[in-house]
Amino acid sequence: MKKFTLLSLALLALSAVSFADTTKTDPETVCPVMGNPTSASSISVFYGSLLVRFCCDGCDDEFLASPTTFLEKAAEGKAPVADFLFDPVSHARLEIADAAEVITLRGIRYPFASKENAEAFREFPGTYIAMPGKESLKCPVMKNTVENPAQASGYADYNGVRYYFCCAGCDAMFKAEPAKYVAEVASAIRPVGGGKAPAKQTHAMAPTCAGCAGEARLMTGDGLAAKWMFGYRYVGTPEVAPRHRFTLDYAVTPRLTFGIERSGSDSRTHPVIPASENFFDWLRTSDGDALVMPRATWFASPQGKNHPSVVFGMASDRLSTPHGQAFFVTFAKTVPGSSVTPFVSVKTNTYEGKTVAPFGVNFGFGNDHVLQVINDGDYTHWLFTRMFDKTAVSLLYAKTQYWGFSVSMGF
Amino acid sequence: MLTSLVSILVLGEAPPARVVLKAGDKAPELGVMDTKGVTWKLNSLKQDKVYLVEFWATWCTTCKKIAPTVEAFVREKRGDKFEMLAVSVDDDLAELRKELRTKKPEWPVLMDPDFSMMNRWGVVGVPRLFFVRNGVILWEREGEVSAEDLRAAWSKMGL
Repeated sequence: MKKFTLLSLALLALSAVSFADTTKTDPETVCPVMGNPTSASSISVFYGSLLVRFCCDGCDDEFLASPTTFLEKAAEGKAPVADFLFDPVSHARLEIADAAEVITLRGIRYPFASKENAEAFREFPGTYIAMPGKESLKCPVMKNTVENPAQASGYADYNGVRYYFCCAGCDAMFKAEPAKYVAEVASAIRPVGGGKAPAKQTHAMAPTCAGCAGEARLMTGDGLAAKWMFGYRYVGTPEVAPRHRFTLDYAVTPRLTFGIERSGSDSRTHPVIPASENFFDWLRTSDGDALVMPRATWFASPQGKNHPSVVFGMASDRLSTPHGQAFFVTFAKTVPGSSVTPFVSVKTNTYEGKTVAPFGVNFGFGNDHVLQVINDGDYTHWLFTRMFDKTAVSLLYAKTQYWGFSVSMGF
Repeated sequence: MLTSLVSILVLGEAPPARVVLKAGDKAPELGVMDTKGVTWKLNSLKQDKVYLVEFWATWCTTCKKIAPTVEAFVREKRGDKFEMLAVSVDDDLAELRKELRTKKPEWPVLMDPDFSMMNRWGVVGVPRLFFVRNGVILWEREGEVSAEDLRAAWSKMGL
């Protein structure tokens, strides 16, 4: 009864979190092809400086076959179909969620870093949003290539070409002497939406942490969905250690995160790593009696057409790693034309030096729901997750025996 | 000729022939955005309405010289049957904004910063003016134009 009450309260709390998240950060764009609502986890593509989301697999291909037709149609509609990735006045990269003001104009949402920029935009909006027909993802100043416009720090238009910059400061150098810089990146210029296929950005619950059963982590095709991620998991096991688990991760880059985790509620354990111990010795020999443990994840490669995603990491989840530190590598690949993503891992840990091969499958339902079944080498866990823009809430059935839940919030 | 020869030698092929629009020719597509963010197309233009399409730029001295004449003519004739479409070929849109703040034009200002419309219309210099109705060029002029020229063209078109 007590367990039931606790779970009910937790689910009520989760409902509150979900509602707040929905109103604050959920995208409000609709699919330009079908007109259905989209979410942050929807399939999306970059078209010029726009991020366009779709309701269904296949809509993206239809859009890319005739983008201007769909954008012109959307310009007449009421709901926006795309987000501009920059403040169109300052040309600096800016997320809609971080904007001081957002203006929707002819089917596109434009974010502004300040009210003043929004005011300037209102005067002659067309002069800020006209997009050249060609673009270069190779920074003309540093010669680095950004993977997509969302990775650029800003842009400048010159002689009918939009040049994206890799770093802050490149824009000032470019504007001082544009002709000097453009010659060396001439070969990188391509038509907008043409040439190389635009990168797809798919939010998904990453089957990343095979050492962390019951952990839903949101990621895009480019890495973690937020700079900071906080997670909490409750599971009603008889053992104390796995019952409560807190995690906090910081994304140094979208693909490389470092963090800490605190498991268990045993007062006999040290609050932090004992200062008297050598860190690396401790890492190697720890039996897990520290309350605060380090963790890290490196999204080495997103999955491609012919290769799986590759993720390296370390964690110390007490559900699948009773003591010590676990180290793992996970490979995942979505079955073409489906929402089924099998994954397999190799995991070793400092606890008895045990090496196992966890495996599992993510089943996607619609755009926002994922059922993950994972065998961590000893036990099978079930995790049903609802994804929002930067938040995931999950119902957990650990060891096919104990109920629990987890929540992961990006900020 | 020299340009053509160089193009053939360097590119191995002849450049596309320049479009030279004359009265009676079909008007090419507009396909550009105005300062409000509205994309203009030929089929955006109203049936039977005459449009004076003027290609201009903030840096063009001749454009500045003829501006009072053209603007006076447009203000006199503007209405259900006639409208002006000013097509700026400025690639520096900050300069264009400065100009617009001063001039405050009452008619749509289209922007062609990458010269796509300019190329479609065969425009090699500004100012360049066209009277257009129902997708057909009625009259065209390159360079300076006087009030008399505009009135004569107006009469010739039977307006």
